[in-house]
Amino acid sequence: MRFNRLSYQILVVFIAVIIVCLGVSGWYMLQISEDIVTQKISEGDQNFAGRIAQEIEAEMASVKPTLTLLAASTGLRLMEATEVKGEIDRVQSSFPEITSIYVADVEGEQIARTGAGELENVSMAFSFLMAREGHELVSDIYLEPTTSQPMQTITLPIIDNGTVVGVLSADISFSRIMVSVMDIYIGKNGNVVVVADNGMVVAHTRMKQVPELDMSNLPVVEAVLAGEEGTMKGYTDELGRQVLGSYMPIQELGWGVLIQRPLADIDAEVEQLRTTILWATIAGVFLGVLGGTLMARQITKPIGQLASASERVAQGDLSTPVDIKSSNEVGVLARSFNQMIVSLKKARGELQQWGEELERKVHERTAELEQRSQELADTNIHLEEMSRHKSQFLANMSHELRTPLNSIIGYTKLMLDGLEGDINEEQQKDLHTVYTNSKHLLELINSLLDLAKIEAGKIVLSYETFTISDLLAEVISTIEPLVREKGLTLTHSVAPDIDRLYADRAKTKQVLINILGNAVKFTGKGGIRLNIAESDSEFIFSVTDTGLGIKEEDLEAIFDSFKQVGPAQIAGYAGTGLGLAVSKQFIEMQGGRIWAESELGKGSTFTFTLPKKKMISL
Amino acid sequence: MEKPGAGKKILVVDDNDDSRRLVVKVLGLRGYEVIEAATGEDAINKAQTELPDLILMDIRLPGGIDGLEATRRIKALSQIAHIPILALTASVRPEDMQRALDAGCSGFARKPIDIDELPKQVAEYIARASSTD
Repeated sequence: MRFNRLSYQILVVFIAVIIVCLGVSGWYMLQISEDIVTQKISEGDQNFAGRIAQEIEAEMASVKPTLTLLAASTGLRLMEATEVKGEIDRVQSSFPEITSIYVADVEGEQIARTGAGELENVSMAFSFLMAREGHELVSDIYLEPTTSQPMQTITLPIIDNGTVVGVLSADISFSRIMVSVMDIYIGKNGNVVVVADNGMVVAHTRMKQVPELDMSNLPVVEAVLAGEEGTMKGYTDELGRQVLGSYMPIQELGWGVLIQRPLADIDAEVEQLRTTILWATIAGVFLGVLGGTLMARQITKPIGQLASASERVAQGDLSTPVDIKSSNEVGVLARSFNQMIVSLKKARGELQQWGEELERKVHERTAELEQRSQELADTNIHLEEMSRHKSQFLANMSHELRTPLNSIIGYTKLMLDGLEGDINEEQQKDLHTVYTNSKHLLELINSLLDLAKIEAGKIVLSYETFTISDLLAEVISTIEPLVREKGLTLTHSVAPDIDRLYADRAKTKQVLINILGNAVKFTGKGGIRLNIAESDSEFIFSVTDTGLGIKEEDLEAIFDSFKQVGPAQIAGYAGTGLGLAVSKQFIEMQGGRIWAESELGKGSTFTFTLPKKKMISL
Repeated sequence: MEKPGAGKKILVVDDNDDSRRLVVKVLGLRGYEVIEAATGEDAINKAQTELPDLILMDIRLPGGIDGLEATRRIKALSQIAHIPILALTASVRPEDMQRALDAGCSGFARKPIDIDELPKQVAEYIARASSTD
């Protein structure tokens, strides 16, 4: 059980509230239980006493007026004795309480009496004497000697025109009352007592034979005979018990009804009530706990469902919505939650779709890229191969071109030198033209080969240490004949400290010869000067001529192999060939620079530098 | 007129007929007896049968045996190992030159041939070889 904390919390609070409430009320009930019991009992008893009083009153109250009416009736005075007897018999049979009636004359001689007894003379009886004097006499309650029944005698004068003409007397028995009272069950040990106006007990539940018992000294009896009704607690009753007494007067008779219960009985009842309260409290607590548990579960169940649902959602499971049909806040929450799940599902679906789409696109693009890349690589390989083929082709072609050219040059020279016989002047001129053009063509082919090799990356630098003077000697010996041929002068100067160089000797020589050769070629008259100087970091070679000069805009283009082979020939500098392009490559390969300065018509200066390198070998 | 090449035998090895004939002409005009070979194999055979005073060997030769290989084989045969061999090459690359020297060449003759220079070189190397004999 993972979501019980909330329900436990609710339950604990609920139980605490129940226990406190029931505890407090139970405790209070226990506190007032005695009062409650007492009040309940006394109220009930008083009520009951009232009912008994009413019954007795109803039964007894009609006796005396009936007798009074009988005494006052004219018939009784005028009737024969038998008739009187009939009359009083009738009355007696109508009223069971009346045990006997007699009618006597003023002499005390009984005229008639109920029953079968003999007529007596009652002239000596106190009641007769009082009645003869015109008084009504109601005797105290007394016990009939033979039966011990509580009795009362009512004696009335029979008056005719203001004169007492006779006496009527009736004995009234309370046995019926006593019997009915005796049958009343008041708790285990309670009793009902009916007391007459003189405090004598008329009826007593606990006594089959009513004792001659005067209870007038008991305060309850005093109170009830004074016409009061109420309850009195804690007095000692006629049987010596501590009791609770409830009393009610019988107003018409001046009597009282008393219901008494021993306090021990009441205490037992209080105890019983307390036990009931205790059990009721316990049952209440139990029911409360049970109800609380159910309620807590009822409240927390949907919350738990929501909690586990949200946990599932948190773990990415959107398949199960919350099943709560309630219309309260939790229900609203659940519905919102389900809507949220639906939205999430939708969003996740879209996201997944987007993701898949994205993945697919990335895949596609990657594939495309790979294909492109592969194509490029293939193209590259193809291009490289083509380039290699081109370079190889150029190298081969250069060789193939050179071989016949060499033959042309050689054979022309053979003829020019007249080794195979004399030739005339015109022939010599022509052959010379063939010879120089062939040489130029050879140069071009050689440069082409060099460029092809450079492009193919086949040119490697070959550094060595050499002396400037040796290099100069070789270069000059190559150029000198041309200079002489054109009637020019060639001078050179070398800065004093320059002795050895560490560079690619062959390439440096080729560059020098190329530049000097150009100078010779494009100088009509004047001189060519070669100057070798140095700075801190470089050797500086410069060749100055007094030739045609070059237009400023062409100064850079003459080093450009591609522009050189284009149709736009540089004015006046045509035929330089590819030598300068090759020279530029050779110099730059060695970390140097090459450039030209010129003034059109006055001459040019070509300069190149070589960085001073550490001489690694001799 | 006493020709400088009189009595001397030169073997010219070149696959290109025109080039070879030019050399033959240039040297023949100087009085040399010139024998020709167009392949490395032929060159080795001729060197053994003719016993020339000097061999002009084109480095680039077609077929299985190029100039360098032919030179190496000639130098490996004791009866002709002494014959000086000049390499005919257009290359100025030091490594190419070194390879030729390693194969057994005594020196170089530049291509394209200089008809003035070549006879001088030939004469010089023959003289040098005979002086060391």
